[in-house]
Amino acid sequence: MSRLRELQSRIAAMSLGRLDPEALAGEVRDDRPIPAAARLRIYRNNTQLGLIDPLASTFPVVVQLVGEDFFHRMAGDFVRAHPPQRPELLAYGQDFPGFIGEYDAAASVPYLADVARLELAWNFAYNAPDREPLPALALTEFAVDQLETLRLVPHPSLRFVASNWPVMAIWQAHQTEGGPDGAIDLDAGGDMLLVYRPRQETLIRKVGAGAFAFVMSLSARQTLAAAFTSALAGDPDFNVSAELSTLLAAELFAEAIPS
Amino acid sequence: MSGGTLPFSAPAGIGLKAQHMAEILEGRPALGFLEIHAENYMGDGGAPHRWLSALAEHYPLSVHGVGLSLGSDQPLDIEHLDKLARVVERYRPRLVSEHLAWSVMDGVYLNDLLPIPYDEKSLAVVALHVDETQERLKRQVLIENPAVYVAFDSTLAEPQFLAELVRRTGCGLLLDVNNIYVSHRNVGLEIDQYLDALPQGAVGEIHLAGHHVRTVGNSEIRIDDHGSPVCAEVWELYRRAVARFGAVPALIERDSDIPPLEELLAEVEMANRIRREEEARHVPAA
Repeated sequence: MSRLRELQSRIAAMSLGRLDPEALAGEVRDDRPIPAAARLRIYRNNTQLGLIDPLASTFPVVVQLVGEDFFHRMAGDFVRAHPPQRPELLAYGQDFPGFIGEYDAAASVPYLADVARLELAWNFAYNAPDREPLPALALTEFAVDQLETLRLVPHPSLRFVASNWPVMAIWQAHQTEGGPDGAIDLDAGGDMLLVYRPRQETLIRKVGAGAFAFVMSLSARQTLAAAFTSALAGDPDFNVSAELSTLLAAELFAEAIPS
Repeated sequence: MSGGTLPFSAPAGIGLKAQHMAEILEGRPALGFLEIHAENYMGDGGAPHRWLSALAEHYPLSVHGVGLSLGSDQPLDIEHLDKLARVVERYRPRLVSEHLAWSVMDGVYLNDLLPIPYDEKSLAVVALHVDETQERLKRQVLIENPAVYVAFDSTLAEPQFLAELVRRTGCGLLLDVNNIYVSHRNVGLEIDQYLDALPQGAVGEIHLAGHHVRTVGNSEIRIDDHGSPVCAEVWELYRRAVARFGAVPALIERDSDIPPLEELLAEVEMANRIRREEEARHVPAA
């Protein structure tokens, strides 16, 4: 290993809190009034803040729910344990919801990890490729006997979020300045959500268990008939024609591929 | 390597911030160009691209990368370079720049601009990476001098290092005069001969920003946070840079505590005024 590489390895470790700045002080010139270790700590501080800030941008509702100071501590623990591997901060934080779920100090906010999952899905849809959605009446082009084997491809921005908590209401209550107006009923039951962006606006759509299973199956490139079977497992009363036209009208799909 | 384009000598511009986009698009203030951070536009689609495409109809663009880590002693991240190339192909900016710094090591991205020792080894590493970048982008890139809090035992002074990098790779320079001043105050970077040590035709852009002063014990250290107006000493250094390098586009950089647009426009006007004054001083009246 070259000396430069070894130096960079040690500075990286120091920046993530894995090496004491004092241990690196001998590597830098120490001819200024402020000791080298104190100046190295500025890099440690900047690095960690520089990784916490993008998380705060991606997870603004989590920040509101726990407050800035707590978020800073929790996100700091996360960035030291799971720093990004590549310079892709728009997508940084894939492991943050799971980390929150196991973060003891946040255990008193049991829905926090799922709110983070919703924010991650929202962020994905926000930056996803632009793609014209399928028109609501697109299926009228196909003969009835073609429909069973049709593959209806969801919009590429789509992400699924399922939670035992009413995360959509929690999320919506934190979209206005000053936080929620009224109390949120945490016993209101769970949410099954489709998060996607057919055009300019990112949408969160609450659906039933049948529709959730239906769209999941379609996104795994199953045929309409197979997706219908999956939907019935989630909801025996699933009304495929009504649900399908609702989802088409909601511009959830990007493409219809006949077999 | 030549970019194959005409020299770009627009008046001053600003770093583009989301909170100013609507106001700029509506009011179309006189700005020589807009600069974006490449990484913010590496997503596939959505609002960032919609806004930038609309603004690009009215203003020249400068793409400023922060994540390429040219100074890391390991192979360049080709996937990241491809993403940078995609942003450059999509927006066809007049300027493309990156940093004399590193931010990736041992499979971790630190999102900071860390300093390198100025010696032959670093020069070989950075020159190789600048070559690869210019080859992939098929154009010249400008390399920015860093603001530092520590210095290493080096065999070359910073401006000599940069001059040699220009000679070896044909890159240009993005001269950040605030960074020169911050490094001067923090680690004693020699400031008086700095500008003269750089090749005259190499500077393609100048950055102007504010920094803040933090006290550690009884001493001051200057933190390059781009969070305040440009200070008087940096304006003075800018005047000297214009006198030496001529009509180079200047950028007002503000990345934290973003003020109302009009405050940045006032700094843009200040930069343009200094440039006019220096031009009047150096070009004899007809």
